[in-house]
Amino acid sequence: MSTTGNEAARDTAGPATSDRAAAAHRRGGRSPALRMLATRSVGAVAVLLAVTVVVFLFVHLAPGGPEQALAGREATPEQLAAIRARYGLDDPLWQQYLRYLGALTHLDLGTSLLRREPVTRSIGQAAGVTAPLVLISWLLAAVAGTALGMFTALRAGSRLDRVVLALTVLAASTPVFATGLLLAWVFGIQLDWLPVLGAGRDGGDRARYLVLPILTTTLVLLASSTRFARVRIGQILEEDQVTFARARGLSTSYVLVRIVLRNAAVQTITLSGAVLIAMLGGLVVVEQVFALPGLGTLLVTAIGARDIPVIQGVTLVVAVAVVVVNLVVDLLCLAVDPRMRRGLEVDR
Amino acid sequence: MTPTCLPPTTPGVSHRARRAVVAVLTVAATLLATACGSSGEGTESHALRLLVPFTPGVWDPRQVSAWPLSGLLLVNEPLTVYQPDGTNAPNLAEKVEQPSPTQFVYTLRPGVTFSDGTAFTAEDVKFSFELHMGEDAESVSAAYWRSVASVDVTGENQVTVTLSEPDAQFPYTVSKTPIVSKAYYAAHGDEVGTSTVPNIGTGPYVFDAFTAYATTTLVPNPGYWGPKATYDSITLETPKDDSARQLALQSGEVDGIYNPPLGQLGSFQALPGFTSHEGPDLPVYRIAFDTTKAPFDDPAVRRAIMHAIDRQALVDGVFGGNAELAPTLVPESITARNADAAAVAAAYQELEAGLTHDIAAARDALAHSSRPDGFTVEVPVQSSDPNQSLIVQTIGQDLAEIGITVTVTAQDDATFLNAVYAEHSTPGMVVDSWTGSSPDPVNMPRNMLMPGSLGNIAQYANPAVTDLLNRYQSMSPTDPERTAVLLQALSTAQQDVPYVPLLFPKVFCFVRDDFAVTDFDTLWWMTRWPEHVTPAAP
Repeated sequence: MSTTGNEAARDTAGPATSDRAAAAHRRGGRSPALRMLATRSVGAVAVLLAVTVVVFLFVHLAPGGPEQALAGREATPEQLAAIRARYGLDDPLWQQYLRYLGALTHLDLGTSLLRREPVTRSIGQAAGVTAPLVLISWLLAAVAGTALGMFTALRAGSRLDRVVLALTVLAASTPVFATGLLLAWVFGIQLDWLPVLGAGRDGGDRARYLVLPILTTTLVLLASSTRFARVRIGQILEEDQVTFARARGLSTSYVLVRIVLRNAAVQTITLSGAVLIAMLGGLVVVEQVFALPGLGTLLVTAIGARDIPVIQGVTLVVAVAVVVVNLVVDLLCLAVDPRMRRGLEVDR
Repeated sequence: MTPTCLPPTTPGVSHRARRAVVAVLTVAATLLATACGSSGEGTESHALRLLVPFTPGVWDPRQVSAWPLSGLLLVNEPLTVYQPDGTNAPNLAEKVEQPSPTQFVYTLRPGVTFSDGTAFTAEDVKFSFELHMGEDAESVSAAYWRSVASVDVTGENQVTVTLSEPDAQFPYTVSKTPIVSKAYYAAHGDEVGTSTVPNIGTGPYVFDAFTAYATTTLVPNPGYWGPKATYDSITLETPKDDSARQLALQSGEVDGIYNPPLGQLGSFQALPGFTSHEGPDLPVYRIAFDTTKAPFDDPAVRRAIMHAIDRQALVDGVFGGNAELAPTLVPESITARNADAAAVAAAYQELEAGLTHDIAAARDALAHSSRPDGFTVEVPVQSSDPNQSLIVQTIGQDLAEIGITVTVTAQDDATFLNAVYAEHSTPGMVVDSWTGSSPDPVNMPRNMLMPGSLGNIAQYANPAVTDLLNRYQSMSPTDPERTAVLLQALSTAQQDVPYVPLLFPKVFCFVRDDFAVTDFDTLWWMTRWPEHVTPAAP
């Protein structure tokens, strides 16, 4: 009945783990991670369903509707009524919601009332600006923050440590729009190196236009990631395992990578996930400062014009992103920390 | 060796760290050098990049009006083009005849093609006009087509428009109505005007790139029937943020800004290398009273508020002098455009005399009103227009002197539009800014004083005023009595105080000194405006 995989797991995990793995196998053969994934997926669907209900109600119960944007300020009541009827906005809310939900089952987010294009296309175009901005900033902040945190933790109490700490406090306490304006003023106006307005066209041109927004976002994120890494790595460096490892003559790089970073990984990944989620909200400001037509701008514009399908579409996509990030964070934590995997087995 | 942490001076760490730092810096510098380049593409002599107040979500004539037409009318050119002197010049229509007050006959220019090579026909004109017609039209310009009974193709190159009643604004309506291709709309449906299905026209430019609500680039139409386009490219950008506008101008990325927010005038005026151009603007800031709601159903209350307000303080304090007092609901420059200027000036002086700031008269009027002890009122304003909030705060101080307490509530645009214009659900006193989108002076009074009009947030109904405005509509544009009828309507309405006209802001543009600007005024977007923004002679 046993498989090669299970035997390998027993070989490396020790007797207790081996027994649990065997028990897990007897109970159905699925790994704890897969079971967790299944459970979380069901939960995610419930969360997303709740999000659609809440957003739908907020959008439809808010005063004003898209008919005013579509018909303009000189519309007659008859014109407004005709437009509301055309888009089914006078139907009972439950009917409108079911229509929306029915379309969602076909991955159809509807058509923007004011852009006259599928919402998925509007979101796709906006994501072409926001996705590189978010992902590159996040990656830069995570990598550079961890590196800086380790660099300063190794020099705890030194002048360099204090300088970096002071700079991170400054960056963290500076509003993001102020950071953006300062960078734009330096690199866009004084040095005339980089453009400050818009997202340019696709490809290389866009990369040039995104440098300052990415730099702005990275600086703001770098503050929190550096400070977190500095504290956590500092704590691990003071643990006995590091002292013993060094006493055994292990190399510095081995100690840093295999012991320090590995022990800090779970917290770092968790923080990175939280930062990524927080960024989705904070990006609106960066997009406004640099006039970027990203997801934040798309949502703000849609709310102003009561473009219901776009509001619902963007919020749903953001909700999905949050759920996915949380799930990925949990899976990564499971992957890097065997204690968590064992925890899942014990929980059963 | 330190027992609790690795020593800072460990040679291996220091060396590697230094190498890592150097490597990171090198990569960063390389990336930056690669990414950086000249941002001065807008400085080409035949490219124009401007900031404008609004870019639409779709370049469809049904969803574009006023300023944003500045882009669309260059692509989907109209039958006639509005001129800075107030006249309409032939364009796609070679000849315009008006055999009767309710009939216009347009003879179309032969041999014109759309930018996709298909022929421009009378059917395209009929289709373009009918996009805006009907009670259920999904068009922001539908109000201007309500007087049209029919549009008929009456010849190979002839279109006849029949009105149900005379309409003084109609010739201007034609000048701001983009002509589209019927066949193109049939092929692409509602997606025409989006970024993936750019609209096509017969005009001097074609759409090159478009991001909804953000940016549009136009390039010359190689097959244009008329004079060569002024620019190799025109880019119109709409940053939402004040600082983004400021940075764009300071960095030299753009060549100017049209219709800037009045709150930013000071910072733009301080920019070196830019010249300011100004003119009277169409919008009127007004206090509107819902005449069906207490206590504003009492004319004495309305009159008390009118006398209590120091409008000049608003011009000076809120607008920094970049506005002029509004004696009535339509600017004098608009009313006088095709009329006896002296007579109009005298009438406006008389109207202004009726709006005196007189606290004693205000107290007296309130004492004889239904609320002699004053009252408290909440005034909604649009959060997108900070001037409205400042106006309410300023007049609040004036009204406090006569016992009226004012609180201000900022609302987002959709909430405000719904409460003020659609539902009439405000407490009864509103400060707003109403603008016209037609050069004819009756446009704004009809919107604000005719029963049932959306701009009539006072729910004002005076049959005498209605009759006068209808009479104006039916009169020939050349009738010398026409302006007098309008002025009489305005004067009659003023006696009822449904509104207190506050001020007309000025309209500005700031353009780099490399360019010469001529004939700039509030209706610049209706003209063939790139011909009035030309690269300055070296």
